[in-house]
Amino acid sequence: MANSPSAYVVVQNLRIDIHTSSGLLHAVSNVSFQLTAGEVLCIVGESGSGKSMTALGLMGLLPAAASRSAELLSVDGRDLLTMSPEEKSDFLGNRMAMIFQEPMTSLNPCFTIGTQMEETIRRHRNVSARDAKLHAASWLEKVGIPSSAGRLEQYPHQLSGGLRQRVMIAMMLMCEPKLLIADEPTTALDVTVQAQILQLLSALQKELGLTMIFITHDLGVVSRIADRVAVMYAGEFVEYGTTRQVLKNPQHPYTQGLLKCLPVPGRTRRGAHLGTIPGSGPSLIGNLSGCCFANRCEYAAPVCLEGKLPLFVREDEHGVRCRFRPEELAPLQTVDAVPQ
Amino acid sequence: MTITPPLMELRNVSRDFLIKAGLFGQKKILRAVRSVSIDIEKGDVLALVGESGCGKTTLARMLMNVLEPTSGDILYQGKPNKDRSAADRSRKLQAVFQDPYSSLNPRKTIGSIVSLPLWIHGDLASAAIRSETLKIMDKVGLPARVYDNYPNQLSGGQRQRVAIARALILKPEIIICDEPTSALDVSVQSQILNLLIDMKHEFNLTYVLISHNLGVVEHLANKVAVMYLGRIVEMAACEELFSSPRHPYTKALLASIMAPDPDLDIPDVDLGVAFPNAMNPPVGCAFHPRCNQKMPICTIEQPSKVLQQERTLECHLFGNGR
Repeated sequence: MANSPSAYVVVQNLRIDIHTSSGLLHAVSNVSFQLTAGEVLCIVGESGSGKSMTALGLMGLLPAAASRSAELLSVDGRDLLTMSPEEKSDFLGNRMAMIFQEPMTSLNPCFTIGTQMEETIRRHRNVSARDAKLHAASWLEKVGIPSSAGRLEQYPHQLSGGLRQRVMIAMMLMCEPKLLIADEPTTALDVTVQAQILQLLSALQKELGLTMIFITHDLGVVSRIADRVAVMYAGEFVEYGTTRQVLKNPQHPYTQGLLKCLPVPGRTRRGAHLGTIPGSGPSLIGNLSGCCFANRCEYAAPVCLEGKLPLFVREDEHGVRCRFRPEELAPLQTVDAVPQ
Repeated sequence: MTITPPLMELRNVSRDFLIKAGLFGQKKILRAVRSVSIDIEKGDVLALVGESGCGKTTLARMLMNVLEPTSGDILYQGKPNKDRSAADRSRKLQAVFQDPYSSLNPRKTIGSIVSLPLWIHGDLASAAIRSETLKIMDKVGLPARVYDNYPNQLSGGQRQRVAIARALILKPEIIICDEPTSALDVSVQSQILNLLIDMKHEFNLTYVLISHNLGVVEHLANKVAVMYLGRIVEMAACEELFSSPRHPYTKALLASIMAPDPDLDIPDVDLGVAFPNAMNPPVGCAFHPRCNQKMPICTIEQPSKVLQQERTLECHLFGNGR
C-alpha cells in the first residue's frame, strides 16, 4: 500500500503479542490501514478477535504483558512508535482520544463531572478555572445535556448510562482532538439511547471533521456510521473495504456467515432457522498456518491450510483474506425453514 | 363447552421494593412492576421488551415464584401459583439465564448439573438418570464426551446449551428465557436461537422471552409486551406490533432497530434525554418527559388501559374511544 500524503492515520503491519503462561498469544497480526482526515472506520468482530487490542495498541495503552510492533504507526504525520512519554501524554487527549464501553468505569466516582471535565481541559490548555468551567458547561450543552450548570456539580452515579456516555464524549472532545477511537461506546446502553448516542457522535464527527475509529460487534451500527469497514477475525483483518463493498457484496465466507446469522425484522422469515457458523475460533497461541477461518469455513479446501494468506485486493481496494473469489466458492447452502 | 383457562395468567400483578436511603434515611418504595395483567396460552412465545430497569426481570422472577407479588394474582391453569408446591412448580416451569458463566456451578460436572433436577425430583433410578441426561444432552447438541467435563472447559455457546438441557430435563411446560443470547457472539447467538426454536417444536413448549434485542424478539415471539417503568404500555401480537406500533415508546423502540443496511441512516428516535428515576416516577404518564406527542393531560393523569382489537395500550392518545 502506497502512503498517500493525505493519509491522517497510517498503520502498517501492526502486531500485538501477549505473553501468557501458556505461550505467546498473537492478539493482532498484520493489521494495516490508512484513513484520510474525516473518515470513519469501523472495526467489527466477535469477542476475542483483537479489535479492542488494536485500539489500545494505537493509543499505546496496552497492558504490561503485551508488546506492540509495527512498520509504521503514524497519526497526523507524527510517529507514535518513537514518541517519548512526555510527547505522548501531550498528544493523547489533545490530538487523539478514546471513549470506552462502560462510562461508569471510566469516570471517577469520587469527583463531580465538573471537576473531571475541568481537569481535562486544564491539563492541555492554559486557561483559568473560571474559563475551564464555562468551557465544560458549553460542551455539556453541545452533547445535549440541558441545565448544564447544575449537572457539573453532579457525581457520575447521579446520571443515567446515556448521560454518562454523553459526559464522556464531551470530556474527550473538549480539547478538540482530530482522531477519536471509540471502543463499543453504545454496547452497554439501551437501544433507544444507543440510537441517540450514535446520532450525537455522528453529528459531532461531521461538525468537527473528526477521523474516527469505531469498534463494535454490531453490524447494524456499522452500516449506519462507517465509511470503511474492517472485519476482524482471530487477530487479522479478513475483509476490508467501503461499507457498501463489505456489507452489500461480502467476499469473505466469515463476513457472509455473520450477515446470515442475524435475525433482521422484515427480512428473515420469522421462526425459520438462522444461518450459523459452526465451531469456534482458533487458538491464537503459537503459529497458525493457513487461513485462520479454515476450521469453520464451509468451503475450506486442503489448500486453505497452507502458508500465510495476504489480504488479496479486489476491485477498488476491497481487500479479502481468502484464496477464492465468491463465485469460486461452492453454492451457498439454502436455509431450511421450520413451519410455525 | 368449557373454557380452558390460559396456561398462566397474571392479574393486576404489582411488586414493590423497600429501598433504604442512607443510614438514617427513610425507606422509599420502588414500584418495580405495576398492575400487570397478561394471559399466557400454551404454545405462546411471550416477549417482554423494554429498557433496563423497566421491571422485565422482576416480572419473570414473580412468574418463577422467586419473588411474591405485593398485590395481584398469578394463576397457573386457573389455580393460584402460590398454592402449588415448590416441586410441582419447578416441574412445570424452568428458566434459562443470561450469563452461562455465572449460572452454572463451576465445581460440578456437566452431567451432574444437567441431571440435578432428576435427582431432586427422585422419580428415576440412577442408571435411568444417566441415560435420560445423555438423551437430553444429545437433543441440545452436546456431545456425550462432555458429561464429565466442568463448565470452564466449554465455550459460551456450549454452556448455554447446558443451561437449556438442565431446563428441559424435567419436561416443563414453560421456560423463562431471561436474555438467553445477549452474552453470546452473533454466530453463537444464531445457534442458540435455532436450538430454542427446535426445542419448542419438539417438546411443545411455551416461552417467556426477555430480551432487549428486538431482532431476536421479532424472530421468536408471537406476542410482545412492551414495558416502561413497571407498566405494560403496549401489548399485541408480534406481527401487529412490529407492523403498526401505536404507543410513542413502542414506535421509538422499533425505530431504533438497526438492520445492517448501508443505505439507511442512523434512526432518529425523537426522544428526550431525561431518563426517569424509578424511585421518583413522573406524575401522570411515566413516559411523558421523553414523549414527542405529549399533551397537557399526560403530565396530570395516568392513562388507563384501553383494549383495541386484541391490543392493550396505556396512552392518552388512544383513551376514551380516540
